Amino acid sequence: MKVSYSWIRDYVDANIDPKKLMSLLTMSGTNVTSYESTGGDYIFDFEITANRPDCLAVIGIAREAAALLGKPLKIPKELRRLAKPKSKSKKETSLSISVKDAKLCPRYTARVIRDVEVGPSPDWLRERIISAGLRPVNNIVDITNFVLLETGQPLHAFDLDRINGAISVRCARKGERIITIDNVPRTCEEGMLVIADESAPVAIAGVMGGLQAEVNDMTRTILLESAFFNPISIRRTARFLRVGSESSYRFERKIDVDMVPRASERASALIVEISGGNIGPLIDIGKVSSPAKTINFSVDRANSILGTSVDKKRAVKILKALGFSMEDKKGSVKVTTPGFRQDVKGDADLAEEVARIYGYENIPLTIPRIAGNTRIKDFINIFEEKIKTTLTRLNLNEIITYSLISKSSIRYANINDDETVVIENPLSIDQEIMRPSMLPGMLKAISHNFKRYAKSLSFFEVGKVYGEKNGIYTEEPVLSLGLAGVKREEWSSPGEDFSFFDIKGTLEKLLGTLGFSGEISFKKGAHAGLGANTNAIAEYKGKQVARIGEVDRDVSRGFDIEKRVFYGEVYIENLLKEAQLDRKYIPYSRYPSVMRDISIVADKGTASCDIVSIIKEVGRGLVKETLLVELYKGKQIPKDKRALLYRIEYRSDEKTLEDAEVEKVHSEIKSALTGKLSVSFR
Amino acid sequence: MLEKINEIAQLFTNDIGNARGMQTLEEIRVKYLGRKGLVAELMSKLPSLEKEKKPAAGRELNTLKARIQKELEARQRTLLSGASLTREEIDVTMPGIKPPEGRLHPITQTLNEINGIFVSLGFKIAEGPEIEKEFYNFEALNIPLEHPSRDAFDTFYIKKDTLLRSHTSTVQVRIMEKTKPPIQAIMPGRVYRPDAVDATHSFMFHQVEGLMVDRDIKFSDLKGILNIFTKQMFGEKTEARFRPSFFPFTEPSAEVDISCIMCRGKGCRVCSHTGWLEILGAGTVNPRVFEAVGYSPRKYKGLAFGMGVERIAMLKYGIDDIRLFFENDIRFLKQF
Repeated sequence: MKVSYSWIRDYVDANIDPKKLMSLLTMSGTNVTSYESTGGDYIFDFEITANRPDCLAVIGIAREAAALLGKPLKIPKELRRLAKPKSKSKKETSLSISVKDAKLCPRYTARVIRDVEVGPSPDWLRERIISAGLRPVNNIVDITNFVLLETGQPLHAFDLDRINGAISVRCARKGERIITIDNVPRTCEEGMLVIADESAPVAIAGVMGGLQAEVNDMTRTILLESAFFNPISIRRTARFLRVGSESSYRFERKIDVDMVPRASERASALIVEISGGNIGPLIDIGKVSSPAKTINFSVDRANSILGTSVDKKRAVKILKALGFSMEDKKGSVKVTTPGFRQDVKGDADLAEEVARIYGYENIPLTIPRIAGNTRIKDFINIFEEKIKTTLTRLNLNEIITYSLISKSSIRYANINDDETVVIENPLSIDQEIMRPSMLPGMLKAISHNFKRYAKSLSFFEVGKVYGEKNGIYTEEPVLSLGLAGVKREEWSSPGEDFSFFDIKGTLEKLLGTLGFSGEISFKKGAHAGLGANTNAIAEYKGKQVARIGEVDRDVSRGFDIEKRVFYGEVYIENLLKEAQLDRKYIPYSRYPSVMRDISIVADKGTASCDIVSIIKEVGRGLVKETLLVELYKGKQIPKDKRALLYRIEYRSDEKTLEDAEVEKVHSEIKSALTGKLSVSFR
Repeated sequence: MLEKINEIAQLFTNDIGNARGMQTLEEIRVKYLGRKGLVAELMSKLPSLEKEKKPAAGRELNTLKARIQKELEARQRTLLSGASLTREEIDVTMPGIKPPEGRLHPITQTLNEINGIFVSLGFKIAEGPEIEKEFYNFEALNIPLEHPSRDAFDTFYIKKDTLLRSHTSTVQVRIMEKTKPPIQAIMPGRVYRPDAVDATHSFMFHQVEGLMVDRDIKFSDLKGILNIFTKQMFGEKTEARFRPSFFPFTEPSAEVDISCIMCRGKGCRVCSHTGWLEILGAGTVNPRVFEAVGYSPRKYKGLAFGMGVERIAMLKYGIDDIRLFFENDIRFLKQF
């Protein structure tokens, strides 16, 4: 809301530098976001929070300034107290107004003013209107806008001669139409509040007037409306029609009912002064007034909320200046809230009022007693941290991708969308669903980088995947891994590409760090988006803990990726219970090792893990390590076979092994291998 | 005696075979040829031998001694000539071979830093669901239905009463529902708002919220705690100021600004020439929130604060576009 320095000074003697005033207001909660200086004046742009509709008025801001400066607030007399109607006999007889829905319109006032001369406003009025960022129209409209800005009470002036018969404030019927003053034809929704004459709506209550009864240069008789409309109803209507106005903005935030007749008086007086005319009596329907709340105020309570030691006199003075009525009865102070401060409901609110004017900067800094949590981090936090630090050590870079994705991206990734969580109100197709898999996000990141000439990509993300089954929503923590392109780009290493065994090795290394050495089994699997023959499931104690594989070429091409991509998903919850991050020292043998190579020619279908488990089983106690050092497929062996060279480390914990002992075990291993797997040796 | 000599000869063959450097070579020399070495020990036993055995034993012992000397020298020569291989010519200006390493996302690094500060002050890390019941996101936090205060919290809906949380304050309510005070926790996590995406707005971002509830928590405690946080996070010279503001779930509420870390408060483009940067919202817990979770507002008081992690990371690293965080360009990720 834009308000000029000089306008504020109409209500308070603010004889201080405008920038100083700006800073005082900002630091007490009436935030000035920017200002401009024009022709010796300053125009402040205020950001008024939703709880303070009273500051959507120049007088409201002036009241704040007055409290801050310790100066009186000067309010025009029509606004101070409502003048009693002079005589009951003087009733408006020429016009019938009825309110059909008192819930949506608890108070409605109107007044006929005859013989007005519509024309341009005087300079002072035009300047005020322009300073607030509005456009001057004519003296009548400008006065209603002026009073709206001054008091926060929206007013509307109709050209009464263009209204057809009796007026009713009622709910619109389905399909009723009105052309509003912005020249847009609008169709009303059933139930929205309108002001109507005998034939059609002439205004959308509290939101915008209609073109039909708009005041123009020919207007001679006006009907001045000042009312209180239900905030929720106005909010719904404005949202439905996608229009907002100075009026609807204030009605939504709840205006002060007590201001309804006063603002009418103020505007009437200005109209008579500026455009002439004869004021008729005030029609006032539904005489509700603003609820006043009485709160017992204790300065000790306020100080205990704030951590301050403000004295009672000071606190009372502040609250008085802000418009609260105070009644001091031997120690206990009864505070009555004014109609324009319905946001104040209890002692915490009063403490805030005192603190704002006292100054937040004057509140001391203190440190509370700690609560004494016995556990600062849950295991999952520590576990996820460990995963992240391990993977960065293993040369993977962390990415963060959106948890909202498009439906098409999961189709491209070949992922089933039966149980996905669908967003009702996405802003774009990129926000249609909660991701059921981390794969599309990973592929998008890889694609983005390849398009920008990256050569080597190694990524991971720790996040959640989401699902819905029978109305139950699930959020499961998952780690995704992605490797694509060359392993290293430097001169020292040849440009070898990532392979399945890189993603497998990364996973093995990670699981090792998490305390799962050696007991994970890998078997072929089938996972959405991954190629049929390069797809493995990792299991621990029969539970699936990860899936890895090469991304199906059709899928990666769907994301504009030409290169091979290796992907993995690790199911964090399945790992959690079995993970062992604590380390225990295991004494190692002080005796030397003996290395023996074993070169096996086996069917292509013979699994490496079966060979290794036989070696370990037969050589139990002595075989410490079995390393695959070479893989050969080629001319020197039959086509359906492959040669595997394992290096076995023999070591005893008790003594130096003799050659003969090693030889004995080694040949036992060999015969077990031939017996069980029908392999030969080279 | 001759057996003993053979044994030592065998032992020496073994040892010299394993000698890989000058240090072991010297150890071997001392072991065999030293004043108290194995050879000297046998020498000292010669006089006590039978007369006829003396000459042969003496001969053998001298041969062994000569052999040991010779082989030690030969071994020494090979080791030294091996060392001369390092005289190979290299181009020292060629790039070093850098061990590869990965990086944590700047959001994770910022989150770790924020969490770390609060953890050191005794806050526990707590988490909660992202798909939430409307109640936890709004009503329990004193944000009534169809009230303009909801405008600041536009929300993605999944169905009528289920939504994507638009702030992690939801976790505050969940903690208070199932725990009795005292409470001291921070709640990091992803949040969602249907904002049109531009350089400063994203429909998904991260927040950290904090909550303390006890019998005598005061607004001044909030100032004390956040003063430590801002100074630790942004530097000792950074000033923090508390400005009255409005949040439905705190009363009194404050917006916390820090002196602009770019211009040190002089005024620049980043701080819109105000010298101040808005970084977090805070306040003492509104008694109505306590009522919603079944705490007695007379008995307990609390403080709460919340901040956007992306905003803090942008300020800290000088990043001018929030979209960079989710694009995952390797040239971006490698910088942090």
